[in-house]
Amino acid sequence: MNSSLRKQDRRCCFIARVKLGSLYARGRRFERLFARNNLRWNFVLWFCLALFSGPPIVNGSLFAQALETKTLRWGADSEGGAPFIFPDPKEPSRIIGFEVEIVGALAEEMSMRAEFVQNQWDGLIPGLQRGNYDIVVNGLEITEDRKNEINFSEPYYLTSEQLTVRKETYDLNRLEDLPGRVVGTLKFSLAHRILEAQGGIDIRSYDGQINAYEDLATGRLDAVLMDYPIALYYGRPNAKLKFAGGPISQMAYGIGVRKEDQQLLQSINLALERISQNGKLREILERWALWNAPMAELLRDTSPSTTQPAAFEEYLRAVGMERTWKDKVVQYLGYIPLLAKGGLMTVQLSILSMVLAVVFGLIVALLRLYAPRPLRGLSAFYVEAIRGTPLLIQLYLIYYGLPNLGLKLSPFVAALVGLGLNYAAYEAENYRAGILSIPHSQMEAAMALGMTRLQALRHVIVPQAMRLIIPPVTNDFISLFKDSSLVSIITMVELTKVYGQLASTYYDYIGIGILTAAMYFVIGWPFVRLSRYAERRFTVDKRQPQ
Amino acid sequence: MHPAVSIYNLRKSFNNVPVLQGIDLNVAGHELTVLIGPSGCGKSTLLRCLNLLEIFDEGTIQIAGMIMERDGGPVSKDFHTQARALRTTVGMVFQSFNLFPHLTVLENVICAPQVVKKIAKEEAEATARDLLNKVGLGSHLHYYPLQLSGGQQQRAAIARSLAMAPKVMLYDEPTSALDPGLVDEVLNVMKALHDEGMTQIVVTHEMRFAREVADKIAYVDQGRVVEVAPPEKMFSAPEDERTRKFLKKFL
Repeated sequence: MNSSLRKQDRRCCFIARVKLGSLYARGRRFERLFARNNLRWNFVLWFCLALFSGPPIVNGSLFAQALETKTLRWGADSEGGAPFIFPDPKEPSRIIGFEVEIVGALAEEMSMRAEFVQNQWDGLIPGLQRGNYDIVVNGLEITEDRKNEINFSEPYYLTSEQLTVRKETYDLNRLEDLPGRVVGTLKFSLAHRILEAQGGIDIRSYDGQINAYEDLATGRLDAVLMDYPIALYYGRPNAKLKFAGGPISQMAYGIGVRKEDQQLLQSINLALERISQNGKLREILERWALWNAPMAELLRDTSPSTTQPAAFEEYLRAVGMERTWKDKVVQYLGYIPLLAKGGLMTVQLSILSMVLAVVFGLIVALLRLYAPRPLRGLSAFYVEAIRGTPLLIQLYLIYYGLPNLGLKLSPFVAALVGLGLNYAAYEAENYRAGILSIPHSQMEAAMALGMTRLQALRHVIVPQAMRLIIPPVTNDFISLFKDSSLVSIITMVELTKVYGQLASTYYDYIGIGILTAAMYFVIGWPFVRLSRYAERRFTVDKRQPQ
Repeated sequence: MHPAVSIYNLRKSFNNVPVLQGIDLNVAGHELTVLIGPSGCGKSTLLRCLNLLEIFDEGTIQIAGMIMERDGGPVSKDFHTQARALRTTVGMVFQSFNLFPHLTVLENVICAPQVVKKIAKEEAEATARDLLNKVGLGSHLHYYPLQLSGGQQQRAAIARSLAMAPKVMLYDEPTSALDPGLVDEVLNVMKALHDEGMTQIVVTHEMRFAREVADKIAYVDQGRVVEVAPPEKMFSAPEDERTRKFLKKFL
């Protein structure tokens, strides 16, 4: 089927669904029907449309595309940890969690295939708007300010904040007890705002829950306030800690959907309603020990529990197991394939970005040195602007900003372009320093032989400059190699990201951290050697009088 | 004989300081002409203007069959193109040799023919070997410049210029950077070229060389050619008072 027919077909299906007010499943049947007879149906439908509805309100949204391809692309951050979405401790290349199961159940209801898209938690909403995925399911609390940006489904889970303290603490049980104390929580979270609203509390913001509970256990914090599921999976298993007081505040997790995808929102709500009715949602929550009174009230289901919290218990066994060092070696060896995969991405990305940086940097340097004034100014501006701003901001601009101007790059290309263009500025300065250090008489001698300026550069100046700049450039490559860890913020899963995912799953920042650092070192070492070799090989020593 | 190089009313200023103030000079083909004069008199600038490494402000240069003319206006793109074409047929040897340090002697010599004239490597190498044999560096083909003595480097630089088959050779104080013991080996190369009939213009302070080899000597002072004469006349009976005064210091 050619692509224009496909497109029309898609439109027809969409209109058919609107016209008939059909349920999603029915829409699928129509779609199949139309696919078979699409020319005739096209005609009839366009005719009806002309009669009844004036100008066609055709939706070219990404959602229409999602329906066509039958995949439900959902965005989340697997580094967020248990019980939401995290790598299976037994088989780290598989992600599990109660949200994974909920999305699976929803997709099944919608006859779609769920496809997980990794995205940094802070960037989940921009990623949704950018079209990286069609829904967000990752402990996203339904709040008023988020509602301005995106639509939310009905809540799929209600929970509250939970205060955790050390076993021997007895005087901290309510929010009102906290002023004057040091309390940890996650950045940008509802708990953070609650603590701020209380006032007088010394708040410490964390990126990850593990460090917060660790600091509580070692006495750096007096208490930790976090969402109940997090507290249940990371706070309570710690033998030195206990829950204090009852639920604080209440919040609802909803599924985030782009404002324009009204149809998708309806389908999701419908599917959610179904899994609420048929007991699937409750079963999932009970398996993860998350079923609670507010949910019972929401689903009007107060019957006694029948499902064992099997998933929760399995998690406790996996992280709480006392291990001999032999077990640990085996466990660490098990991480290596995952880390190696991340490492491969890091290497690919570093090498390709460096190639881009080296080539583009040379062009920038030559423009800055030899081009007519406006171009010279432009390349000088480029170098200064890039060197004067953080790489992190540049990556954000390229990945989340450019789509507003109609340029949507894949994460890999965005990372490549971001790193490449950034390092090009540094390489340009290396080249420029190298070229300027070649005496002007060399250019004169070349020109006196009849070479053009460009020929002189290519055959005389640049080859000499190259020898001078090889050491700084190889040095830069090694730092680019390490800077590549920044691209995890634009959803790239490279070595550092894999580290984050594993560490937050296994509650182990030290062991896996050392393993990851070793990995960087092992990968980077050949390049360090190469830079030494290049330095020796290209120095002019052997050209000195003997 | 029709002059191989003809300069008429050549003027050049640097930042409004006039350096060449109307140079007139004719050089006959196959002759070796030596430019002498006090420091800052403009003889080096004159030489650099002859292959357009400096672009003169006004005047006319006719060299190697080309005519370059300027009237003080802006330099056209066309002029630059012509200047480049001119440089392919006018060789230049510098005081500080300016060999390409990243290339061997042989590579130095074949570089420009390959790049500029697109001559095949084998052919360029064959020519280069002959030239390097001629300047006495046949056994140093694969040395890097910094592994050679100053005299050897300057001879390699001459071979490099000759590889472009120039019609005129210009030398800007070719022996000034050399130890006294190495001067002759360079001058001998120039003498041999003279015997072959190369048109050469040399800025130098080697009066002995000028007296023995030059066909003409031109005395330059304050941006003008004061006097042109064969060496025997120049050294025995210079006409101008300034020439006499200058030469006195060397005798």
